[in-house]
Amino acid sequence: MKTRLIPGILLGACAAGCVAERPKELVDAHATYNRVAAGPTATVNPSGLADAKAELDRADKSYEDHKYMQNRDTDFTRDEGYIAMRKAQLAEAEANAMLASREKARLDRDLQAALLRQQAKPAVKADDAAQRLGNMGPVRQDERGTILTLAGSIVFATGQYKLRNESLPKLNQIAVALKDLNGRTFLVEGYTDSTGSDATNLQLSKKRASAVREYLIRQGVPADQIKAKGNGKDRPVASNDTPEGRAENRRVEIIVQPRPS
Amino acid sequence: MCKALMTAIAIVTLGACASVRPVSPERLRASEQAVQNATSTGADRDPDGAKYLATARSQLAEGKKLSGSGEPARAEKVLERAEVDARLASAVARENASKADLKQTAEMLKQLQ
Repeated sequence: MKTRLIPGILLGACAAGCVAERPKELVDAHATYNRVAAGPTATVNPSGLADAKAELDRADKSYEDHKYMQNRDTDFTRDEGYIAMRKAQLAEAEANAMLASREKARLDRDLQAALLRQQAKPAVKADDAAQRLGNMGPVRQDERGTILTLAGSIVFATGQYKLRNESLPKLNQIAVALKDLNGRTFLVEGYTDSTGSDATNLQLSKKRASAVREYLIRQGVPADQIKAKGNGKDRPVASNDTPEGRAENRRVEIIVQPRPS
Repeated sequence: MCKALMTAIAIVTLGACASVRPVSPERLRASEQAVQNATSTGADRDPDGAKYLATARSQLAEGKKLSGSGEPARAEKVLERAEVDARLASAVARENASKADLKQTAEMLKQLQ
């Protein structure tokens, strides 16, 4: 890089204007590539990084081949520099997504272990639904009853409605708590974020709610006391404009309905 | 004489056709596909993804325009820019979603410990 610049600078000094300046896109591409290559992308996503390098070499060659031409069209070098920079960013984003998924898989294992430990503790006898369920996650009350929220990403894999093994210890605990609440009725509601079509979301949320209901029935919750419903993207609990908000909206709610008065 | 004239006309016509040759269908398809993929996976819902996807869409339109106005070589490059922007939009949206899922799991674990 430096050795290439030196003759360029010298020539520029000798005959100002004869050597085309390195376009900004190419300079940016080098800076981005160097930054990405120095980070974890090099080990996590070497093939993505190699793609970016090949593109960067192509852009450099395009610049070297044309820099002495008078009135040359610099568009191609600019395009290649731009594409090289984007490929470096792409490699980095892919690497970061992979790292986050790996870390999540690790935490899922810890979570499963923590839930198993909690399950081993003797259950606290209490009639109050809020108190019993409150030990298992965020609980709130509204006119529908006492609501326990389960994060969609923990119960299901993205876009699927089969229960993840990691969620089973928690659902077992919930089943024990619900069975103790004699004479109460329960409603499992599925929700999605606002991404994708309404029809798909509604369908997915229904299937997810039914999967949870069926599992709880298999654990001994009486089938006539528990219903399932899909609500799609309705009743968001957070903004759908941020990834964090959308993750919060992808959820299953287990509602302990108020006693009939 | 007449034959020579006809040949000349044919060459000129062919030359004119060559200059308005559109970009390769593969190039166009790859760029359109990348934009479509990013759109259908909801990259628009992510603020960073939306930014790159908007650029990808405008470059796709620009590339098609250049292709129609007889600049296939330049059009190919602009379409390639559209493709990498769209792929970056998808990747960045995925990156942010994975990070959000991770954060949620970490919080849940913290609650339990």
